[in-house]
Amino acid sequence: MKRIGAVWCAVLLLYLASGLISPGMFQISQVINILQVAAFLGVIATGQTLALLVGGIDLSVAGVVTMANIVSTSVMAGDNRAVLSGIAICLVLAAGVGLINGLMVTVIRVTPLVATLGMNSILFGLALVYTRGAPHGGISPNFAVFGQGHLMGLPVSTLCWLVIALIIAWVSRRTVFGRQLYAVGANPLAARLIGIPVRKILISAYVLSSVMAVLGGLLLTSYIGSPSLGIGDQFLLTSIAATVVGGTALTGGMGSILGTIGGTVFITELNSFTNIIRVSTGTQFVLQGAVIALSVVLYRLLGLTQKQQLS
Amino acid sequence: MTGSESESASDDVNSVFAVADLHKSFPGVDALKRVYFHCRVGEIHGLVGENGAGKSTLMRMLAGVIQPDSGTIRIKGRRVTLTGPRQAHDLGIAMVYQDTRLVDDLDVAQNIWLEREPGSFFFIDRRAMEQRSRALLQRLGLEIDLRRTIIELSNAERQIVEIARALTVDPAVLILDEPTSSLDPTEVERLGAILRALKNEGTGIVFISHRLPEVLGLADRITVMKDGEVVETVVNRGITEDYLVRRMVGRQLSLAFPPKQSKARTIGLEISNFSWSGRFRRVAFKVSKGEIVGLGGIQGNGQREIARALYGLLPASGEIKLNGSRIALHSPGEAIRAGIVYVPADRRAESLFAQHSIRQNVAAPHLASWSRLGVLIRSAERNAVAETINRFQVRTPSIDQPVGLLSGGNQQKVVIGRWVLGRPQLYIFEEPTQGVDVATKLELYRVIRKLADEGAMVIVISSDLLELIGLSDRILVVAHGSIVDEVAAAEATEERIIGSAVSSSVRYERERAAKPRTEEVEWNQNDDWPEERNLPKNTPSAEGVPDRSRPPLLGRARLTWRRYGSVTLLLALILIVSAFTSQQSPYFLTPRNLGNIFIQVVPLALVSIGQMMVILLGGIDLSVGPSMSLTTALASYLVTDNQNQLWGTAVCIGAGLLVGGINSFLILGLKIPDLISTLSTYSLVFGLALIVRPSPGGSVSESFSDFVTIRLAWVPVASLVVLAFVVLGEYWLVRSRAGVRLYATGSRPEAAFVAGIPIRRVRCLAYLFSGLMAALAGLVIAARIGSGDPQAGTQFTLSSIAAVVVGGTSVFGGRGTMIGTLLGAALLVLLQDVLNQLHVTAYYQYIWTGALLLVAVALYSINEFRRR
Repeated sequence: MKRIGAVWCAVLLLYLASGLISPGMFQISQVINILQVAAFLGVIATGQTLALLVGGIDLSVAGVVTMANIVSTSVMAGDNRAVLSGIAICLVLAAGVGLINGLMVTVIRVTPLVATLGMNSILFGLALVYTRGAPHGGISPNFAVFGQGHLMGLPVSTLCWLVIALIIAWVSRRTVFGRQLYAVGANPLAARLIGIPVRKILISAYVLSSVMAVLGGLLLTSYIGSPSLGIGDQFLLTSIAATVVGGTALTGGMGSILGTIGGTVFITELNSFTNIIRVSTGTQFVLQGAVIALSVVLYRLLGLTQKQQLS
Repeated sequence: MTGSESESASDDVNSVFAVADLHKSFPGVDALKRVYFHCRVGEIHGLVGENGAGKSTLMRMLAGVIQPDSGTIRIKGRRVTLTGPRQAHDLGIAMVYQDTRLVDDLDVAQNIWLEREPGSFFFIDRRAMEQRSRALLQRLGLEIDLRRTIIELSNAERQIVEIARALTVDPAVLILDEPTSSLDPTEVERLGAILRALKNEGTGIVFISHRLPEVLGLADRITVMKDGEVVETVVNRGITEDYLVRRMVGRQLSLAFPPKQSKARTIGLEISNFSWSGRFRRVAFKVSKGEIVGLGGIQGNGQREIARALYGLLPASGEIKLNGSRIALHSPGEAIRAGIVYVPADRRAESLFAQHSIRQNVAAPHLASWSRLGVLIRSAERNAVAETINRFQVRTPSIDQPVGLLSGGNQQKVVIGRWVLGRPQLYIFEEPTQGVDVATKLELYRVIRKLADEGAMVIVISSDLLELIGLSDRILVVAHGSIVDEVAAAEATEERIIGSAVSSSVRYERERAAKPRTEEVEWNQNDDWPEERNLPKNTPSAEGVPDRSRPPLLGRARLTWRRYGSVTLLLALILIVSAFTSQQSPYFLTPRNLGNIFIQVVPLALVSIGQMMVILLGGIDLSVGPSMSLTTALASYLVTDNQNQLWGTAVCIGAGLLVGGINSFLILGLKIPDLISTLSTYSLVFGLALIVRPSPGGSVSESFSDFVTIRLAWVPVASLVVLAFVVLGEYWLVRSRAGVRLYATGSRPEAAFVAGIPIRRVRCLAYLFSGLMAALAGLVIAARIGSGDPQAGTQFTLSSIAAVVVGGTSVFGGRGTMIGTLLGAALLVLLQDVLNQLHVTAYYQYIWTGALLLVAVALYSINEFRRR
């Protein structure tokens, strides 16, 4: 709880500070814009959080997002009848990628970092080969509602994100599966010794992570409407940044989806602010790197009293 | 009282070391209280006490591994403050650990001399090292191939190597913590002779052992410890085992145990012909409802494995009948459903989710039964957990307290409470009171007895014999994986249990010795079997020097294969691919193309060598790619025609070192995991590269480009330099002190630490080196493309990891070769070129780089798993 509180305090502080420097941040349209853009990262980071919670990491989200973008635009090709098949194919592919990641980590015991990094490269290569470097196609007009539509003044994509994130948050806290997820992340050996199906849980986490990445990719595709190679690359770092800023520990078993929602808003807010004050892309990357390292240290300090007694 | 001494330790002029008023507390326990202890010149000082009496803590303090809270340590009369193992070594204190501190991936000679290798400042004199190792081992009566790695040795051999290691310093004090636990009687005898000889040379020896007859046979004086305090120090004259046991125990434990059960009972569990992989054989016993059965004997004789097999953790053969019907157990889940639960000894590692709340810890196995359609019913969970906490009187302010904050005893209550909720039929406890204070111990005894009284069956494994006797109704003595004796608790004594275990050992040895060699081979496959030994035994020859028949020496070829096997395969693969391509494309073998391949290998090889050093230590450096980009960006401003190019190059290299420094600081200074640290520097450095050079451009001076890409005939000189560097580097890895340090730190950091290797500095240097190599690689790229590009290095993070892993370096650390890394890099570049030659689109490179990485790491990982 302390961890979730901390990230939302940071979100507010950053908002106030950035608003004082550039009042544009206080406009409703800017807030809506932040929430709109945060949605894509938010969904992807929700999946990343699950991977981190079980003590792993998923660097293939970047490739999966690109895959969602390329495949959905190619299948839909502007045709309204192909919306469902486009989404379905993407979901099936995502489940396959997640399954392979999960099997590599559990059965072959490849470290998650190497497994998903390799997978990321393969996915990017496949996208290049499939499109021959020049992607064609576009989304179905009806599909655009997810990324471009508004409901009660809020972007539909934001609502989709919040619904997905809240469902996953509920699942992680209130269901048997969710609790086993935390247990496996905190101590896989102890989890195995009390009869928790560790492999199944790990594999599910990677499958869910991929599925979330595809959902995020689909929302993003719906927003921009066209295919674009390497569109997912930005999410490799930002999804981890949002998760870590949201208080999820890389060691597994500690953290929350609600924290990640905060982390997502924080990262998006920071990017939006730096865009407004016309900071270069380079500086944004520098800031992002600093924020990742800093948040790990701050969460450590926050939990210090507890940790000292624990060790 | 015979031979009791009253003295203050510090005024003894003859002591090699003396400690006074030593205190040490760990969270929740006072490990040492007001301890006075000293060891004289030329004496063997026995140190005895129950498990957890503080013997090991005291000795670790002397070895500099842990520091006391207060008190003084004097060595040869001089007061010292021990800050680390290295300093303790230098002062002449050598320690032999119970669980040996050897580096699995290094060979025998390297382990014996780790951090004390003979030779020059940089390089190790292998010949001298082997000679001296042989002499040391001969003194200990072990003839062994010095090039075998530790992982190939039996436990007994490891123990001897560890002792040999302690003798390298000519120690003033030699501390042995349970040195005989994996030795057979002849080996124990030999060790005794060695210790006496050392004693006569003036060494002070502290001998910690549970085996009282050995202590009585060897020691001049004996100190008894109990609950972190010294009970007394006696001269070993007229002292009996009984006397020591009384002093060790010294409390009326028998009174405190709850009364035993004596009614006639029905049999609930029947095990017959139960065997697993040579660890235990044809085990058969029965447990009645309401009965507590103890599995005793000397620790590590298969008791734990029997318990684990009963819990479905080991695939044992044989028959298990629960309430008359046969059951098969393949997983803990099945065991739990059958009504069998297991409480392992190591709570933190195997039972608890330390950061999670008591509620989550208790609920973890019951989630499914407290849920509807997979959704938890929170009230059911809360009520059940609260009730359990109440029933077992777990002292905590709330059930939402993290369980890691509780004391050991309360943690154990949580673990037991967790299982009681499911009303199991059979409880298996392994060391149920380990790390628990005395008062809570008694509480736990009552809890366990109550479980039995309520009709459950209980199996207890405990190395604390008094606990075993006090708690059990019946005791089965296990030795060498068989049940060798059965004693009713009323008649059980420590002597009887130890007696059965030891006499069966002697018998067992005799039978083993009589058996043909083939049987031996079968047993050798389990090299961590505690009593395992595959040393052929001969009687000592006339000169008294044991003349053991030599185990077949590993051929030099096999040793080379062990290090360079994967390299050879890789080389073969490269040649096959090249041969195939030259068939398909005539252009492939032209000097122009080959030269091109060679120059492309250079930057990848450079950055991969840096990456390899980090991976060798079990880390990873994701920031190398952006570092390369940054270097090209800097070079495009600083290494131009109208600048001092040397100065510009130096700045570029400095930038690489700076990135390495930041990584070191984050990882070692702030203790952020290496993955997240280098990920954040990845972003940071990439950002810097973009700031310096937002888009490709600028120009690197032509003279610099020409200098870097200069060719000798068609061969780029840079590639020759890299080749020379790799060959020298390989020699350096194998022969230098630093190389051994690197492997030791990567393979087993805790062993490296107690050997005195500054592991933090080694890690720090590895990251600096990685940064340096990335900068060099970046300069080569800059020279080749002639400009700066903030994206130039991006691909290299992945491909450097791929090259290292394909080159045969283990991602778990501790194993890898520089030549392999070079060949890994060469293969990656070669494949790219081959696909170009075959007119396959360049887009495939992402696929096969990723695929190659995954295949290589999967193969090594499978291999690793088989090895362990």
